[in-house]
Amino acid sequence: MLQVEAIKAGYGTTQVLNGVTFVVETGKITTLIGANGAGKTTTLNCIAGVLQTTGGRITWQGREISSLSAREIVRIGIAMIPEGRHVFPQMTVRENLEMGAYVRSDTMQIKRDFEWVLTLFPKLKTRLTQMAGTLSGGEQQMLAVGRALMLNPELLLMDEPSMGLAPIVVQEVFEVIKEIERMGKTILLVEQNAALALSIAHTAYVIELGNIVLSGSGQSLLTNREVEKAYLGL
Amino acid sequence: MQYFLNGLPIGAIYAVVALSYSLIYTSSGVLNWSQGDMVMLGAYIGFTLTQVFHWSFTPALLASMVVVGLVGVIVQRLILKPLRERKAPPINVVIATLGVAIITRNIALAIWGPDAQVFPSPVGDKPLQLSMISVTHQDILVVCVGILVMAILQYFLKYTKEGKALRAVAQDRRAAVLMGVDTQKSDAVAFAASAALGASAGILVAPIFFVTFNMGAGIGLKGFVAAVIGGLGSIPGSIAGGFFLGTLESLAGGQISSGYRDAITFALLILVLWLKPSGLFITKSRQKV
Ligand SMILES: Nc1ncnc2c1ncn2[C@@H]1O[C@H](COP(=O)(O)OP(=O)(O)OP(=O)(O)O)[C@@H](O)[C@H]1O
Ligand SMILES: [Mg+2]
Repeated sequence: MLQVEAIKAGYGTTQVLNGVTFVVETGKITTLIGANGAGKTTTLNCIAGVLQTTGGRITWQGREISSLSAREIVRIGIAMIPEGRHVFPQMTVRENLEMGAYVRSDTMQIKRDFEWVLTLFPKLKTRLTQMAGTLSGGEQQMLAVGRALMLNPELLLMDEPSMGLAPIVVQEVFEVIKEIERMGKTILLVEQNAALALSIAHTAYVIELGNIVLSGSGQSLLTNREVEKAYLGL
Repeated sequence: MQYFLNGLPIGAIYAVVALSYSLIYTSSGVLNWSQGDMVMLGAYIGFTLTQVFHWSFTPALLASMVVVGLVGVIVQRLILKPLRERKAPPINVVIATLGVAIITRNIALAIWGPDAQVFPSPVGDKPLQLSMISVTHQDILVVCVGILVMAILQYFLKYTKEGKALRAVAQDRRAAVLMGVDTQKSDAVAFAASAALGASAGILVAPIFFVTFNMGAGIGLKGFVAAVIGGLGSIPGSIAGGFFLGTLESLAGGQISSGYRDAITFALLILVLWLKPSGLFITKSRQKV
């Protein structure tokens, strides 16, 4: 279980997170939704060790991880799929996947995970030698997910995987997210596509201006009036 | 034809120096002005090992590359790392590398003195006459070692774990951090590899010119021009730029006048910066390692 307790963080002198608190249950999908600039990416950056918190604490499986660096976070099995995919454009699909396992040394298990990722994304299998920068947006997103899975992570942080993708491709991506949940991974999903995120999430939180303003089960928030008005555009 | 051939050895040397600029530039975003002085250090260490300690060529080349590579790591640790941690603007880093160049030059002056040293060719400079054209053994050695060094770099970048990490950092530093790559370490690897490349160029160029404490300025600038012509930050571009500049200088020196050679080089630099700043040999908008 990941516990985020009253974390504060910001850039320079501007504070962005004003005490964000939520819980991500093991083996479940938890989603964090909110408008542009609400602090979703900032929250993920804090968990991933990319940004240092200035207050509060983050614990993962009972261990405090607030002060760990990004490298140390990766090593304890937490992978992040950044907003905008960020595949390595002039490396092949295969090399991108290999980079996902950079911190691992269990060669045999890496090979098995490589095969497993390719069965999850058959499209990538036919494009192993293609430069990642020449893939379509949807394929790049699949690659970004596959690359994160190459860590064989316990916890997967996903930042707007649906961004910039056609509806049918978004559907595909979400099928994969559900599949990853079935494999027992813990997922924290940040989305602007609130309807879709809520429909697959076990628990959901709404963040506004650096504060959690609402929480509940995914289904309950789907039918919540305020959420409907503010995020579902009904 | 003869001029073209004459341009190959110096072109190979320019290519190696150009690569050393590009490698650091693309992977850590630093324009390292001490690169030419790594060439000078390599030449002096090679000179000392072969002429004073009577080592043979190959071990002297390798030892010089290792020693200068370590100097590269020291530069990264002492200069780049603290500046990075303080989030210094890039221009400060560039100026700091200029400082490194001056210090290196003065250390060399203190150790080896102000006099130019002669570095005899390890294979002799007897020309090899092939009907119309003639090449020296030294020329052949330079081209072969130059190509070998470039091939090893390519292998390192394509097939080793650290090489791939270095490319990942070059292409997307933030994503590389998310993969668990230690960017300080990859910066150090880039500085070491670049310095070692420079050292190899130094040993190759030493028998062509004299070895002096300030030789780094000239060869460093030529290597930089070659990198810009080919596309700073691009490996194939730098190699092409090096050979292009080498043969161009040879043609210009032979056909026009050797006095105009450098003028033509810099005219070309200005022309490239003006017309196609991404480099003559780069087709994609921003090609990286
Ligand atoms: N690197 C940065 N430097 C300064 N301010 C930043 C930086 N990154 C984000 N911010 C600011 O922090 C606030 C929260 O940004 P954040 O990226 O966390 O929002 P978000 O919820 O992920 O938004 P989006 O849905 O648009 O991705 C914004 O006001 C933004 O301008
Ligand atoms: Mg965001």
